[in-house]
Amino acid sequence: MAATVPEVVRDVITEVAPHELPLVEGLSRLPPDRVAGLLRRPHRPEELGFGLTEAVAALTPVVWIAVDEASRMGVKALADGVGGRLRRLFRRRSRPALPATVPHLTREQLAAVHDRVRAGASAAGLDDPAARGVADHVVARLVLEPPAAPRAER
Amino acid sequence: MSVAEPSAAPATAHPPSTVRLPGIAAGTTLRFVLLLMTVLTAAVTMLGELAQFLPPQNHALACDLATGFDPASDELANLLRTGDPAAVERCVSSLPYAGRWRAPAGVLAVLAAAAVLYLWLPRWRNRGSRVVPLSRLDPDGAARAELTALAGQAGLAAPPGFVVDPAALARGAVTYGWFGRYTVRLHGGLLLSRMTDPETFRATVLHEYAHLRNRDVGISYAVVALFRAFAGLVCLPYLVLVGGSLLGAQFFGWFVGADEVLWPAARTPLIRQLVVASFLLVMVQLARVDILRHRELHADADAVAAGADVRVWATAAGGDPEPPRPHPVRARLRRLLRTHPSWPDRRRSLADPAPLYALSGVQFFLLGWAALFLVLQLESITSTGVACWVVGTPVAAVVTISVWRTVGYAVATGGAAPTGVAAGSWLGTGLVTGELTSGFTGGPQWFPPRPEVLLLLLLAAIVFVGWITQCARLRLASWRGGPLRASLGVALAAGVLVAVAGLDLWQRILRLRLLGDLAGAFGFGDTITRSFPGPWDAHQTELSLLTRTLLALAVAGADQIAIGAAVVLWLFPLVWWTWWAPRGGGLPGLPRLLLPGLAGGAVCLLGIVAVMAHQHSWQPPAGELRVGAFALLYAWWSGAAIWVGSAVTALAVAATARPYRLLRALLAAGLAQIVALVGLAVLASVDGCLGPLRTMGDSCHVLPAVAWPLLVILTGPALLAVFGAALVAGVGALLAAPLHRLAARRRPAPRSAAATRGRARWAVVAVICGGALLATGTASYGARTSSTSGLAAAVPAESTSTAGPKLRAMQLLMWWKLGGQAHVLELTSAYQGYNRFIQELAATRPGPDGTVPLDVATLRARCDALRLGATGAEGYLRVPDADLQGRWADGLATTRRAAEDCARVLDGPDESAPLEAALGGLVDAENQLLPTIEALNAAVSDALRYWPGLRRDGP
Repeated sequence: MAATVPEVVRDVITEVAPHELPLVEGLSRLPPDRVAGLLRRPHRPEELGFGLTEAVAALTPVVWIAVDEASRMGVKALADGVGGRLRRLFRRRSRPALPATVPHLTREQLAAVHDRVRAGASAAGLDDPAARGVADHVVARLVLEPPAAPRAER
Repeated sequence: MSVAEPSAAPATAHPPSTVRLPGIAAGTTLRFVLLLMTVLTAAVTMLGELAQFLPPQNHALACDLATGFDPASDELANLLRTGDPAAVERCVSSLPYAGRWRAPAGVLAVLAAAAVLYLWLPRWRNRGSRVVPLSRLDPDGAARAELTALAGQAGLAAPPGFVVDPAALARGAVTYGWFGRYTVRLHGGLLLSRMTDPETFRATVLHEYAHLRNRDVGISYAVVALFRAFAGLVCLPYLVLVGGSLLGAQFFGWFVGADEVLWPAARTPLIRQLVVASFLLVMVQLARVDILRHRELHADADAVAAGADVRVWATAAGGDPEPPRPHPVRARLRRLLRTHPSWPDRRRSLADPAPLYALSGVQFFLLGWAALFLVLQLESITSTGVACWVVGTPVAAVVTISVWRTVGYAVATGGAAPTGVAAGSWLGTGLVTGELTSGFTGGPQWFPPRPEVLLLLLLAAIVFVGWITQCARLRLASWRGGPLRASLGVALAAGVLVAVAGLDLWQRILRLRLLGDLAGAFGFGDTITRSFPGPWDAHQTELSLLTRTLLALAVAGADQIAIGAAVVLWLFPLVWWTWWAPRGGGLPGLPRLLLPGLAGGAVCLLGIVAVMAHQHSWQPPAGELRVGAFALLYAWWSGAAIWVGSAVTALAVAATARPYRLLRALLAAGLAQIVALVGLAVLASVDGCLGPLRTMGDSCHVLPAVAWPLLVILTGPALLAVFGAALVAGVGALLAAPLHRLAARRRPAPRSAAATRGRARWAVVAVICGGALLATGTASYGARTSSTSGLAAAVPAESTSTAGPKLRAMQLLMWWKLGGQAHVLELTSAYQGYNRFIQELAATRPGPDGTVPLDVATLRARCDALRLGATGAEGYLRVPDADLQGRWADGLATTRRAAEDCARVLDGPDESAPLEAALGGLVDAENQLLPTIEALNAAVSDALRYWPGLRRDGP
């Protein structure tokens, strides 16, 4: 049974930062295709709002964005071929669609995810061993997942 | 942390975050209302201009042209040439105008768009793809419980609804909603920080609760929505259309909004329209962001008062340093345009909340600018009186509340009380800017011919704010933390009355001076010499002074609001002084307050005695009626003595007395007037007994009835002297205060109030009040009985047109098309009917007795038609050509008289001989009028050579 992006993130966060679970819960209720985009969006102070403008140091966005990106890239790699290239010609600007579940990732892809998460976790204020630990958790969760049957993207 | 006992409040380095001023709200709502009024009025004006943008629809312009309006000439010359403003108004309102509904419909559309934005914004922010209800993320209800507890702590009856934006990682929140259905949207980051950084969580939530408790959420969103609708639907199209029209006319010869006939004279007005519209946009934006910033700082202070940790602000300010300032001006501008104060600003405001209790200079500037802009716009929709009340009330209320908060804070914290000079200067600068940007904007000039008159406006604003400040200090000096609502109410009423009167006087009298000597230009001097016959040759200097002042004094002296405000200006501080001085505050006692006034009264009376002695020197012989020039000059000089005496008194007191310079100067001036008026009444009653001072009388009797007419004329203008005294006192106080501050270092503080016995003190004040009320009664009696219309009926001087032939042709064509043609047709057909009747009469065979039977009813109808035609044409605009107008007016007058004669003869008992004369008179009148009509026709045909396009619309 393949896992969705929110499921993967929830499993990882339960292990590494359980207090962030409400955030994962909230994000899981948004349209899955748009979450990573919303998280990537730079913060703009609202005209009538109040609060500290700097973001909290949280791991959820780091993990979510990495897993989301990896899922899209995995699909892209599979879809590469003549047809895929043609399609990309027309969809140059837009990101690849998010597959329903996280696809099987190659070693290189997993290594890229590891690097991303490690860098993101360091940026969120974790020291290097801790950041490496988080990245290990993510990769382990992705590898544990039995490879999904390669499906064409939606 | 609130301070209710100001005497107990130590003036430490850390003032409290809030000071409780019972009964004085922040006045934010009032400022929102004022902003709303400004935006709506601007929308009405700008949409009105857009609706009339195309020349054929610009009826006001057409009517102006028909009366001889010359866009290249200055305002005064145009006023003189137009002659009768009422006729122009009739002309405009008589024209069918399809676009009349456009401006109101446009405003409704703007309001509807704003309403849609307002209602839609919360829904949009609440949309399911962005937010999640808090209950879904808070299964154990712990967060909800803490939020509810905080609501109780902040004084909210019930907590609002909560949603979470999980994708927002900043530790922030925002409140929105309407009609009591409010929602707080917590950022995901804030929800996380409930565990990791509880102080930030509590501070942020308490800040949002403070907005809810201050009830500024709904109105903030309303203002944002209104501003966006206004900027997008009104300002932008306006700037594009007017700007495009200007560019088209200037560079490409396309005339869209700028008619060719008005070019290049229309260039300045078009540029000014652009400047005013841009300025308006900037002003509204400035007011909006300043109000929003103020609202934030208030919420910070309230949050800290409700228990938020002030260190959250300190940490944030430390972590969010202000950006480096490469350029101080740019940094300042950026600060001015931010809707949110920066964190260092927030922290500063929490450390020293004084700015929360005062309006900024920018706000006072905006207030002044909006006041004049609004009055000028509303005046054209309603009347001057209504406009002054509608605008003066909120403006005075905002100023008064702000001043009271500032003074209250200073008293509570033991700080230095403000003088009001800075705020007043900002207010005055705003008023002057308002007048310059939206005042007399017809001509091609950038500035009015006499811009120095604007200084009066500036000075009056400084004195007004200074007066309110000193009255507030008078009350609050003895404040011990009790409720202030009643006191503020009284001060508000007084402030509103003075502000309305001031606006009224400016609108109706003083601002006309910007154009120059209007009364002189209209030949008012001749009206005076005709109405008041006498040896004017020997009094030419006085005549020129009278020409300049009499009309203004007569109009203002009949203005009951102005008189009431003049009395309130000094009587209100006197009563408060008597009431509050014994309760502490270190005020001088009543005798030191009143003696200068008595001395001033003596000065005024000395002046009046001198006037009487002078009048005695050229007194007309006994038995001759002393009316006309002699009486007028006697009254005028007596009034002048009171004005000068009051001004000198005020100046002397303002320069020497301390503290409360302005109030004491006004008190002295007011008291001096009452003394002078009473003295004048006595002197005039026993006039005949005074030997070398005899003016009106010749034999010694006590005749109060003789003094009465003089008092009735004089009291109103004399009471207004307080306004003059206030301005003079303002100058005196402004000049003397710095000198005194230098000298004060070497002098002990002034003695405190000597304990006057209560009953005696009130008796004295009661007598003064009685005198003042008596004088007010007399003045308002005078205002109701005397008719100033006789004085005001000035005869406009004839002036020759300086316009070129093309413009003159357009003027004549407009006159012709807007009604001249109809009147000419009506008259010619009436004459044709009359001629037919006479021909039929001549053809009738005489009866057996040699007479012809006369159809009286038909003849009567023919004569009536002629009379109506002539009167109608006389009521229409004057021909914009001096020569034609003279002949046209003569011809119309002759026709009207002949037709009236005809009717009189037909109605009269004897109908034999005069009838023939009357019928003959009508024939003569026709012979006089017809050539004029032919000349008019010829002139119109000639004019069509220049403007052939106008031919197709008429025969």
